[in-house]
Amino acid sequence: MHKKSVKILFKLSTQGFFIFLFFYFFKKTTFPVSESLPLNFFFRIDLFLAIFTTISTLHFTYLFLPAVIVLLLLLFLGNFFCFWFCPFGGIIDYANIILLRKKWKIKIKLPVYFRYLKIFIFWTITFTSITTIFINIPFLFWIFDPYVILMRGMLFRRILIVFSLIVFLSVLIPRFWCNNICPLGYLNYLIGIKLRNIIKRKI
Amino acid sequence: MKRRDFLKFFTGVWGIILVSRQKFKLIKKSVLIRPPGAIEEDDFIYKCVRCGECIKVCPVNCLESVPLDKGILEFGTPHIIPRKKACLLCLNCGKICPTGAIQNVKIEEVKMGTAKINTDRCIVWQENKDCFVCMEVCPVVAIYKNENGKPVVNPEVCVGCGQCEQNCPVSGEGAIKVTNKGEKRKKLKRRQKCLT
Repeated sequence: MHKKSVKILFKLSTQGFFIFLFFYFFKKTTFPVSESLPLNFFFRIDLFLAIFTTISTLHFTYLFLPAVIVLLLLLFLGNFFCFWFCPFGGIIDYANIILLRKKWKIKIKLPVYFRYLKIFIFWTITFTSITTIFINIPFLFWIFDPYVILMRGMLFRRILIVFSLIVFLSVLIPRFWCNNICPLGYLNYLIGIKLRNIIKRKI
Repeated sequence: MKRRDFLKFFTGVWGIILVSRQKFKLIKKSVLIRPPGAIEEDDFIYKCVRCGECIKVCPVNCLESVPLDKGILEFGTPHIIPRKKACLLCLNCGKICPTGAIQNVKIEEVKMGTAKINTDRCIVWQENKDCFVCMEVCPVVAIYKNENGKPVVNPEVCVGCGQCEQNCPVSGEGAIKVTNKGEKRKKLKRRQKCLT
């Protein structure tokens, strides 16, 4: 088998495993809470939630230690998170395969400034999080977190519609969410690629 | 984006924030009853990531997501409406919370609010009937009979679970109501906000 297709197969199976794990944990999140399973694992490894809740409350909780490990892994391995781990991105990739996106001959080109959308979202969130240290203002950063959307999507119908819309858009335009909106993905890119390159150059 | 545009943009955002804060009265005393173990409101609204894990794990579905019309600051956070469903004090929400917004506390440390009897609506106070449902369902025995045989709440013992309000047989608004008055919540060790 071709080396590239082996890699794609391995990537898809890893993503599939984490998608399964997400839904398994969701199903297991019932009363009484299991002591042996880390049911809130996907939120605790979320670097985006870890950083912004820490900034806005000026308080780091030990519960986010897995996110610190992810941060270190990003520095060592590069941005592995989005393409190998993220169940949200995995669902989008699987939706592309299931809906046979490659057979469609739709080519939608987004305007160039759409690329700046995630940068705008990310820095607005950063700016707002610093502002919340001084005054109480609405800080709705969580509405952009993929796991919050996924989890709430399974709890509330309205958010499930939003989630389905995101997946559908990401089928029409390849990885629309990941490339244009996802602030978690942009943060992983900043740490796993930009910061990693700076550190590499200095070493 | 040029540096000048960048500064203009963020000055504008700051302006909007400060004006809207005054205009829409974003700072108001919360009246919501939070789950047992929730940290102090100022920190809770920022620590809570609205993941919905606590809502999912609640065995009696007493936790609900705050709708947008109750305030944009609190939007999406969990709260209890005791008249609909009271808290069982299972404390599983504290075990599942991924950010520590709801902490895993001991049952003795729980104080979500206090119940208060509306003597104008209570059938024991008004019609001398033998009701005492609130007394029977109270898990911490915070309601007792006074010397006249009427139910009274001991605010020091009451944890604000809402069992009394949920089971009150009076139709419409119950004769006993739980508010977040007297709630005891942990405060994070952090710098005080300078503008609040």
